[in-house]
Amino acid sequence: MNNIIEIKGFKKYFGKLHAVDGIDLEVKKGEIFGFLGPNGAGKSTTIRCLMGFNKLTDGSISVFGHDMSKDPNTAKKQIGYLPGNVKLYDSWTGWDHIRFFENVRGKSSNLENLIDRFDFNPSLKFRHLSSGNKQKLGLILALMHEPKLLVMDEPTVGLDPLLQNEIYKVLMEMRDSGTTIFISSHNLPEVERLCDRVAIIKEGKLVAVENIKALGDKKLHKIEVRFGNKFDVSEFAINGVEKVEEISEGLLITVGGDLNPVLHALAKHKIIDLEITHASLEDVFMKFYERDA
Amino acid sequence: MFVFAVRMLRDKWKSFVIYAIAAVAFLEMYIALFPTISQQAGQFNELLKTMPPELFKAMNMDPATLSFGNLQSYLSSEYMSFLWPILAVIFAISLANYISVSEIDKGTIETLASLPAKRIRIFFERYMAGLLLLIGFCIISLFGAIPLAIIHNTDFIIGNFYTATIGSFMFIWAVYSLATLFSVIFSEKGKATMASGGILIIMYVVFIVSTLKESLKDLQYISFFNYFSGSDLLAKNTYPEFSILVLGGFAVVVAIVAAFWFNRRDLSV
Repeated sequence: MNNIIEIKGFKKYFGKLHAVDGIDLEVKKGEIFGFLGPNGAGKSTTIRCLMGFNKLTDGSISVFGHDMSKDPNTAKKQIGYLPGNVKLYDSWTGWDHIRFFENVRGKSSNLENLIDRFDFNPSLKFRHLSSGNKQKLGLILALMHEPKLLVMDEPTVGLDPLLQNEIYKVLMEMRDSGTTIFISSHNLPEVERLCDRVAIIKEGKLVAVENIKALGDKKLHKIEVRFGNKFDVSEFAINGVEKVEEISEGLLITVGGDLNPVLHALAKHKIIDLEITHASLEDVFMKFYERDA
Repeated sequence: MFVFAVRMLRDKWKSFVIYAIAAVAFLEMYIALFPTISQQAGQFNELLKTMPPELFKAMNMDPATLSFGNLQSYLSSEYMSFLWPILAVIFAISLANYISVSEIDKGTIETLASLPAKRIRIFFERYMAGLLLLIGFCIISLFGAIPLAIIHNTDFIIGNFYTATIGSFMFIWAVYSLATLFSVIFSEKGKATMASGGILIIMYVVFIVSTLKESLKDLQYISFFNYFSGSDLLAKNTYPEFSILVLGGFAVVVAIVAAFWFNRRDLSV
């Protein structure tokens, strides 16, 4: 089976609110798939339906070939789930959570390894843990049965950079060992660093599903230029220019496609400083969002 | 096996012990006072005769059985008519809330739902664990009177306590099922508790009104309090079969509806 997740015509409405309005998506075996979008775009709703927590209004979601509306439990045996801001039982210790999960899922073979790796003390009650340690416990619970699919909903929200890096390392190792990872985020550097492919969701609809490299190669450039003479912004309203912003003694020009027309326009001026960079994923992301806005 | 039931028992045992101790403490207080009160039973009974019959109806008591001359009648009026139902109802609602709405309210339901276990299994394991705790509460809170009566050299009729335990359990089982239904319908604990408490208050008011006003007499049948009388159970040692059928039938049907609802609803909101 090449596709671990298959989403077809998925809709989720809450009364008049169309949280997700017809998306189709496939996640292949062994890839880290990023699910991008700002707050309220429909990321968490999709994940909740993907995990079988919520019912679909229309369409279908299957994981490992199992329809998550009809038979979610067979698939859940192979899924590890980590929400952002993990919410567990305040009065239980880490061990209570771990034993409870083991009683349902079976004995874990890599528990000791995970506890050591995250330097986690399972003897403390959940309510006494810091937010970082809460997330560590969530991660241990998600990974302890060595899932073949890891679903994560903004897993590094509010974590310090050290723990973020440790999580990234674990995810890369899991990907290398064949685990498929579906990660929702609005942290673009995180997605850029981790993911093989991304889907961008906007107001409940997918606006793009791209290979991360292809997204970066969209020939979107940023030109920061400072002039030694007078200039007119309107000179740069030419084909391919996405955006022109005035900065001190110059312009910040975002160009999609061929750079040459802009370089010709720039050549007519005395230039003090010029920097041309590939746009970041964030710029590409913003482009998708600003389009049709 | 029974992971979710065992976990609920572990999580709720402290509440169970607190409610059970509270009930036994009240029993001890009443039974310790009983020898003194029973010596002046004649005066108390005369005093009771001066009170309006409507007052007894409002307290769900039968004036005919109201006597401080024996332990059963005394406890039925002092303990079973008001205090025991309050303790039991609060405990039942807290158990019912644990099944679903507390988890949804706190957001822990996602962790639970991410496990490979059928929702129906989670629901019924928890429901049955709650029921087990309620059975334990009924036994301790009523049979707890027996050792205390022995300690205080007070006569008792054990058969009346059997009847009272069965009748009280049927009542609280129906309350528990109703609260469970609200627990699976609502996503906020406060709303579920208010709904359960509100319905019970309405039932109580309906029952009182129906006993006071002849034209509204038939309304009594929609109230749980029509099928639960401390006087009948403990003092008279009677429990009509239709009460078992109505409360038990209601409890079973409503539990099935709640299970169906829990299986269909969006858990993460």
